[in-house]
Amino acid sequence: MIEFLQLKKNLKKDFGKYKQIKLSILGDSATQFLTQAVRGYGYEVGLNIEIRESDYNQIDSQILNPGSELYQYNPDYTLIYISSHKLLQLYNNTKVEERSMFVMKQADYIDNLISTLQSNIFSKIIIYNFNEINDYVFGNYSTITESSFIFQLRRLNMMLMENISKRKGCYIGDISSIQNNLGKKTFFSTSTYINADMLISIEALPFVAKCTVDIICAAQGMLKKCIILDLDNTLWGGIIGDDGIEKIQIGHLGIGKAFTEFQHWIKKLKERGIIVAICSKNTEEIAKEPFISHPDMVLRMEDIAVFVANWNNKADNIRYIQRILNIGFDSMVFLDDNPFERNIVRANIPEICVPELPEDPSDYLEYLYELNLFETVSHSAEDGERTKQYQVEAQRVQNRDKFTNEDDYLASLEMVSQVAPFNQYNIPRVAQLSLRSNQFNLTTIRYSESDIEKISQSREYVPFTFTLDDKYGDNGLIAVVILKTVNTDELYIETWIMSCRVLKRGMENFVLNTIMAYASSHKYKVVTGKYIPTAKNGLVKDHYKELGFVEKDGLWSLETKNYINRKCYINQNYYDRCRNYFKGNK
Amino acid sequence: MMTLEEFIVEFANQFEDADVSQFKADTNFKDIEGWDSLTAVSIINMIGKKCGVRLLGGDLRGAGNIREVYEIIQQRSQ
Repeated sequence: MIEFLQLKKNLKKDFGKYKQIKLSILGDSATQFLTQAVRGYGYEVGLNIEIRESDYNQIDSQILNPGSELYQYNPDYTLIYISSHKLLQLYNNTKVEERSMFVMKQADYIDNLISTLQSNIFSKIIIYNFNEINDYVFGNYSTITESSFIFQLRRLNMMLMENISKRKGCYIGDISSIQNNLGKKTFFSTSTYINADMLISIEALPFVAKCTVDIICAAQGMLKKCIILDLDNTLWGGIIGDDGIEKIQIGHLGIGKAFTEFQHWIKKLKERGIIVAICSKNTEEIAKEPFISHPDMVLRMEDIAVFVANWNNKADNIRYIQRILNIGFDSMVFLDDNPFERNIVRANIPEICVPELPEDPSDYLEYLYELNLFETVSHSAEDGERTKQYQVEAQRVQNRDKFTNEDDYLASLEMVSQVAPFNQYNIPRVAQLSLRSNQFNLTTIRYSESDIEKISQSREYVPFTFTLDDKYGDNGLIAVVILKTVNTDELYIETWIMSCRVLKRGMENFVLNTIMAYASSHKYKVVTGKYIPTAKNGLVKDHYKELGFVEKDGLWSLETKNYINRKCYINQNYYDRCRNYFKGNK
Repeated sequence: MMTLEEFIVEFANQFEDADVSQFKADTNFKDIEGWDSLTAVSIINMIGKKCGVRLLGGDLRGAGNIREVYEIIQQRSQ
């Protein structure tokens, strides 16, 4: 892990080129070093985190007073750090007979803080949980004594998880796990505490900063979506081409155990929605054999979205995988035991994340746990289906080559799209799409679930979601459009995002037809939209131009009067409630 | 135990704008720009980790220059 001194040196560097994020830190102990560490760590990942630190121990007054500096600053994120030490002090001052109920009050207090904050500003919230302090007043018996401090603290952590999991736009920074990993002796330094009232040691600060910035990155859509794996000595021990299927090491014996556990971890990632791809220097048939017939393999062919085994350069193979998946290189992780291959890939594809795997395979997992590569701020049931969708996409790509005429091909797909407004079922997916979409994203506005909920209840906005289903399979919810009423004549496209899985299928024509149908049935004269360039959305630079919009001062517009539906091979399947969209008045 | 020269470099590193050449054994570190209570905490922490000696805030306040801090550490580590 990078050292605090290095993070401090980062503060002098030029942050100008990085995206600015406003963060407020509210703590009940001294947070100056934490502030420096978080800003310094932001530099490491390319974020310019502007931090406003509230005065010492001002959590309550900053949140409860509507005129406070916190609300004036209007941060994108608010970090709340209530320390275990201050919790212990409160506990010490609680009457003996009230100690069994001690954290009920604390949990209510925290819940109240968060509710107040969320009702006042749009800020996302990160709250640290409580690293464990055992005062050993009851010895080991504390664990079965309700009134003991450790019993209360652990219960509070549990309540925090339960309460926050029901909220939107609010996340827990798991510093309790950091202390477990580092050990309390490293996490907490009595001298730093006594001299400066800081409860996180200088050695532990980079870990805490990373955990905080990881959450911010995920909420900003800087996510890892795919893991690409080598095979020999990465996924199993030995070399399949030389040793043969019966000799590779996997299973319960010796080092085989390490590979089995590693594969279980990959499998869990896949089930969570991370795409797993294989990139190996091998003969394809031989490389696939263990996945098909080795009894101890955990990963099977159905877990792998794209399987590439040949003798080509790995950088070229990864580019091939990228073309099929259609996601950015910066959302990919490549794991290979061979430093030579790692360096080739790094040199050719600088954006991709290539962890420096330890030499001993028994260390792989512990090393990868610490990197926390797959942070997320959302999870939907659809995620687990992702691998299947990409496998289907690979089939579709092969099939397309059979058609010489694009129209014939599109017609052959028998595509159906369901159009729906936001509802309780699709809100998590909509928020996720808004975070994950970088390429087909006209304005790159990121929405949290609570933002989406607000929009769905607002009369000013008209949101649409689109699914796409075809004869090969269901792609799920793949496009979102948020229209905003400017005045009785003009409807503005605030957001238009689409998953890159469905490019080149005429979906943009279908979406525009839907928008224009809505606009003309509600007597709008013109539909407008903007293209706001980012490093990643060059794909849609000419989007509005290609759809027939006319530009003036950066604003693209299209009149409803003479609009003729654009050709597309997608059939509509309106969700019942959405049909009302096309009737009725403004 | 590190030498006085090594110690001076580690000491200087705890300042935000460390120009190591600015730091000498007889430098009164409290006159150096960037000296504040946070730097003191960093220095005490560094000494704890690198020299295995626990200084108190008063030890730094009482010392006139870097050499004196180094001498306190030498005494305590014996």
